[in-house]
Amino acid sequence: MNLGYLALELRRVLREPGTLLFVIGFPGGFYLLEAVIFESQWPPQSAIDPGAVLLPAMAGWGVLISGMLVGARVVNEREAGWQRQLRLTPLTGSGYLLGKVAVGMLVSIPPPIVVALAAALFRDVRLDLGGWLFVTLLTTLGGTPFALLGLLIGQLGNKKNTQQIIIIGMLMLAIFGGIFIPLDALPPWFAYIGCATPSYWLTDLGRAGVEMGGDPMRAAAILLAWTVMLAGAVIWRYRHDSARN
Amino acid sequence: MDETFSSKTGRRDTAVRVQGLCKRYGEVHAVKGVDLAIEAGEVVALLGPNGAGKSTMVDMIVGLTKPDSGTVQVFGLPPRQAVLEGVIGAMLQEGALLDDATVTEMVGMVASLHKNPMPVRQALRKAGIEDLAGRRSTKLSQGQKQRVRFAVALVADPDLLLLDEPTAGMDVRRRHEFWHSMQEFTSSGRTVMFATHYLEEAEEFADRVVFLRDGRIVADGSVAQVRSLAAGRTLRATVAGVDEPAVRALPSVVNVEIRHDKVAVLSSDSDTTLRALLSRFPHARDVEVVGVGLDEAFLALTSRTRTSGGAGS
Repeated sequence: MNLGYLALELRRVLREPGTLLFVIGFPGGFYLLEAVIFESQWPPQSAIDPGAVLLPAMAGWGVLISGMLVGARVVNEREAGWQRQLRLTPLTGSGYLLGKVAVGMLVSIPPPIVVALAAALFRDVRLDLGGWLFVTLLTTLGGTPFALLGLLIGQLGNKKNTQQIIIIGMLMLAIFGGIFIPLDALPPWFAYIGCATPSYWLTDLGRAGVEMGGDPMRAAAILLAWTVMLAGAVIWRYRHDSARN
Repeated sequence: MDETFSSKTGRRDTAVRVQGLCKRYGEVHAVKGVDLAIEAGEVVALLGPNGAGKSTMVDMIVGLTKPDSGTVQVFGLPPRQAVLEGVIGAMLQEGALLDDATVTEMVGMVASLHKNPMPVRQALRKAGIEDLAGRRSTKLSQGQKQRVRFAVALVADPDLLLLDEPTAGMDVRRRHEFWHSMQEFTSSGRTVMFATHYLEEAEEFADRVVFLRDGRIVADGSVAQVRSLAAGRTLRATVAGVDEPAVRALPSVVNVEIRHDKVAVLSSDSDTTLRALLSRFPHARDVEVVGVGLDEAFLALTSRTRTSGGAGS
């Protein structure tokens, strides 16, 4: 991958006025808001604090929206013909796509850190180092499928519909992934669908950090499978797109 | 390395060699068997009406489109390889700029992708846009955008520059400015191929004109040939007992057609030809002079190319 290309990609994303909002404002704000709502209904004898329960879900939410929104930005330069221009440079197709995913991942680093800071500072959540690692960097890593999914949608859609598809997709993934409302508080069929979403497994991975999740290796394996599948789809679409003319 | 100029290939061989090139889009046969050789240092205009196959040709030469059959070589390399080596710089139609980046950022990024780019400042200067370096592309006029795209093509420091309708949508003044900034590049002995449907551009800036129609090369000649044809007029007259060699011998005659007593002379300088015609054949009557259409001129060129045994390449 080329550093000059990566640097400009990153600079363009950070320059976008909305980026700061969904990288820092959204996840942190949602976390604090949900914590207040849940607190009032929380059983007082519960062993675990709502601040800790919400931490992996909101960290995952931050990673999910960052990755998807950054990935989908590809639609602009695709429609404008910039991709065509880049095909006239030594930048390879895989270099181009890797750069896009890398930027999506880089932008996904701050959101869970912001949520973790909010949890530690305002909700007195205390975890060991491994726990913090699960809800921050490992959640970012586990979010790779969402950067790819955004990229795929941006490669498939046009300027008009991409925004809508992305927003609907993010909400569906959040709801069925148990990000806004824990799945065990919903009818069982939600949980069945939830298991089929990468967002469910992303929160499951983070929950290992607050000692509530299942086997983190299982979550990681499923997220890896999603990564491979979506990467394949992105590459297939990119090749297909170039064969168009 | 060649030391006369920092040529990437270090060779002075054929810049573009196209053989038996065909491309079909569904029912549309865009390019139908084109053979073409462009020598290093030539400035070639690919001229033709819309839909003649110019863009398809250019896309195949830069490797964006795969031909159905036939081969393309750029300085002896397959197109993609030539792109990787930085041998080709191209400015295509609808080539875009990024809305959220400045001119320097875009040109700089493309430079960082190439092995031996020219300094970004230099590319901007050659494209005549040094003063726009910090400007976002959303704040550029159409003509300025074209020059930024030119800088993007130039920064690879290519041996071959391909331009597809580089001045489309520009007014006359902007076209002039653009070609002015092009001249520095061409004067350095690099090879340039540009597609256009403006005859004036071909006349003014190319050494050689390749005329494409319906996916075929119908004419290929020097600018002088084309200019004489395009500036030509057809003289018609009825001359009893006319003989063809005598008509052909008149000054500035390009082509002659005789049917019975009716003579049609294609002339590059109709005044001179007319005076000579009238003094040589004082009994000529029904004389008329009409302008030649571009198509007609090129047709004449084609037929002449054919009779002289193929002057092409």
